[in-house]
Amino acid sequence: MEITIDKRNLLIEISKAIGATERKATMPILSNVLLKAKNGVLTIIATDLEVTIITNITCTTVQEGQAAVPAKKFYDYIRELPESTITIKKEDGFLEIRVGKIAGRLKVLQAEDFPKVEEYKNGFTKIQYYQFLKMIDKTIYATSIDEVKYSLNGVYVEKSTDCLRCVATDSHRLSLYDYEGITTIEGMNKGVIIPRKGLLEIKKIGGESELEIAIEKNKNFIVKNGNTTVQIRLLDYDFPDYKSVIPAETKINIKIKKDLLMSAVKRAQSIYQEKISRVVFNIEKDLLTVESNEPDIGEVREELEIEYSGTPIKIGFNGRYLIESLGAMEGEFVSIGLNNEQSASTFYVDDNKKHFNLIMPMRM
Amino acid sequence: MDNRPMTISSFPQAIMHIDVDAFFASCEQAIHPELKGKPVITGKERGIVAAASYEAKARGVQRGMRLFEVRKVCPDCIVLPSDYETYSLFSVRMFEIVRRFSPDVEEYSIDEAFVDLTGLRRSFHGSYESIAEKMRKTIEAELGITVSAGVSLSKVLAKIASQYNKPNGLTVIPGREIHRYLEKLPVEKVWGIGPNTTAFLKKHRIVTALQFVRQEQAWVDRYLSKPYREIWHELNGRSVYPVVAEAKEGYQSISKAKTFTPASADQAFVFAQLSKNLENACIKARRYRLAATRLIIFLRKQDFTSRGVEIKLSKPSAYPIELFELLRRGFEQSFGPGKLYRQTGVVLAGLVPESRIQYDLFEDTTRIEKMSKIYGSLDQIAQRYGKYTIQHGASLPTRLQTQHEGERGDVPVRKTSLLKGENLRQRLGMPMLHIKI
Repeated sequence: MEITIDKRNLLIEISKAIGATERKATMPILSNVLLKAKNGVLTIIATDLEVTIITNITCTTVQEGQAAVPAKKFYDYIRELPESTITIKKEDGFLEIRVGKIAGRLKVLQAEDFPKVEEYKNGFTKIQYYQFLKMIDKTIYATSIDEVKYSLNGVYVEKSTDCLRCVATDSHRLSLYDYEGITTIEGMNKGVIIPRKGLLEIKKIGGESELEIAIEKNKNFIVKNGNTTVQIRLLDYDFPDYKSVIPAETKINIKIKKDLLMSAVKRAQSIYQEKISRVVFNIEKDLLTVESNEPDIGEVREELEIEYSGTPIKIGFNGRYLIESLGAMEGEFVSIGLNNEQSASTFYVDDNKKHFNLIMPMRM
Repeated sequence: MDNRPMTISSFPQAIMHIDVDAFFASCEQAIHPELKGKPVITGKERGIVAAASYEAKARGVQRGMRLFEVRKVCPDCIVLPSDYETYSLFSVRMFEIVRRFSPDVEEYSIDEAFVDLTGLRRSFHGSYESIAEKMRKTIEAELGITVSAGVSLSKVLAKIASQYNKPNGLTVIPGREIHRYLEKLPVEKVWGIGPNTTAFLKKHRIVTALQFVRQEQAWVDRYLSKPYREIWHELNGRSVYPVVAEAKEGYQSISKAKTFTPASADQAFVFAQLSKNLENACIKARRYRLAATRLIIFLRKQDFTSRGVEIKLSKPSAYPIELFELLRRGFEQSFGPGKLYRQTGVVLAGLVPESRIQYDLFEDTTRIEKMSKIYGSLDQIAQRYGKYTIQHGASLPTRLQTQHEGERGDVPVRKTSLLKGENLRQRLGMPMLHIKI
């Protein structure tokens, strides 16, 4: 293999691929990127077997071929080279990288050991990049980071009435977002769970205007972003029956300016030392009191005006859940619906409940 | 020699450190007077030396040694099973005596205490030395065990002083004498300085404690982190660490471990030990109204190598039933079939107040409430009828252990010679003297 290529362009593409390399030493080949040169195109492939990133870039191919090099070292070395055209050549078990009088070489691994990666060739569904980002940002915070809860480590995506529905939950809270721009994804015939890590990778790569997305054989979620394709292996588990935990109606309903509530919750949260905090909503006639109390530190109490005339209730929530949900919702007012201090409470900004949050309270 | 004193005032404050000499072995010698002057070690049930009397130490017996090694160096050694009940009774009594002298007592461990003596000279009509000596003599007279003590300006110095003349000694280091005691002391013998810091200091040609305290503050601030800067101040006679008199209230973590002999390769038995560790740790957590956010488990093999895993919990818990699945998973990751295990342990970490219980969307909330009630009742039953009256099934195989113990006769005398009205769970809270007539 021998190519000449612009340093700057190469660096950008390696930086996209590098996120999918595996840093743990379980399979050394996975900390490498595979370089493939053919017909004036250099393809860079990285995979940790869950997320695979394939990116293409034009180059001058002197000789076709392929090589696997340690991703991090390759990136670090290229970054330090002057902005110029560089020559990359595989020779005697090394990858020689040369710019004028600057020459370096990196040991290569057997390219044949690199996992086989098939590029998806079928049709795609188009979606605006910022809309796709919205789908991620409005749900991903509610996914579970608990590795034991496999099925909750990603965002569940399914067809719904006139929309594409995204749901995430860590079993303590749930976020649901209905995107009306599209109603299905090419190749999708049932609900799928897209793992959190892959979605974060798509965010990291960035993009400008339009993405193409598809589901491959209920196995992979494919995102094509210009010259880069991300393949994410779907989580092959059953997503819990989320509909059954959404209350059909709530007896106690209040509405409040979102920013006011957010600031109050943040102040209440600030005194906690441990990650698990309890912010208490004390709802009485026309009054919502936000309270917190950390033994040995102090307490916070703040009164907010609301319109309410029902029975008083005192309910506690994990402050972080409140902050993350309120932060992700777009709108001036937030509606809160409660039934009792032990059951799931609803948070939403629009009456159509396009973006809808469910938070389970803490014990009082 | 560099003769400058660290400070010219003798006792701007007086901190005392007390350390019982060979504590467990001393207790045994106190209740079995015929053992006085003989090499005695405890730890029979664990197969290693938990404590050795000075007579045994003189023969080359060391803590942590295995019993068969002991038999080689000291064949006439008297090996006893540990009788923690008696030891803790001695401990309680010793702290009680110390408190007669000063209210500021920090129970640092079962056999060690720091005492703030500052300002007591007037009420005792004597020097700090005479107060300390009186305390030592009282402990010896009332409990029949000897202690080594040190008095100086800070906790770190007091600890150096108490180590200086062991056993049954008292060393007083006033401000202007500090440098004399540090001159020959290797820096790694200073409380809180470990092998890494020692190695680092060696690179800067600092080998003795005196060389260390003689460093300029600027040097110390530049090269050392906060704990070592504090030690440097303490060694200079400026007390930084206060004597913390309150009993321990909060916990950072709760750990429960148990060694079992003989070692076992039986998967169900080893898991049962772990399960029992978990039950015990959870009992303690509930007693302090705490719940864990992290669970650490470890298994130690016969060759003393250990393996452990740390598991993050998705919500705080102090209920074994919620943790068994994770415990099992961690166990399976750590357990090597066919290997002999001697110890298991569980650590509950990242403790938060129990009140912060998060309800689950997909679980019945009333179930959590019920569970909380069940464990509340279990705790009550345990209080009344003894700890293992009701156990989780997974822990039951540990009951096989009593057979093991029986085979080796490794039960303390106190548990075999019950008084009228006593049983294995409930006994009089006093050490029993064993005198052969």
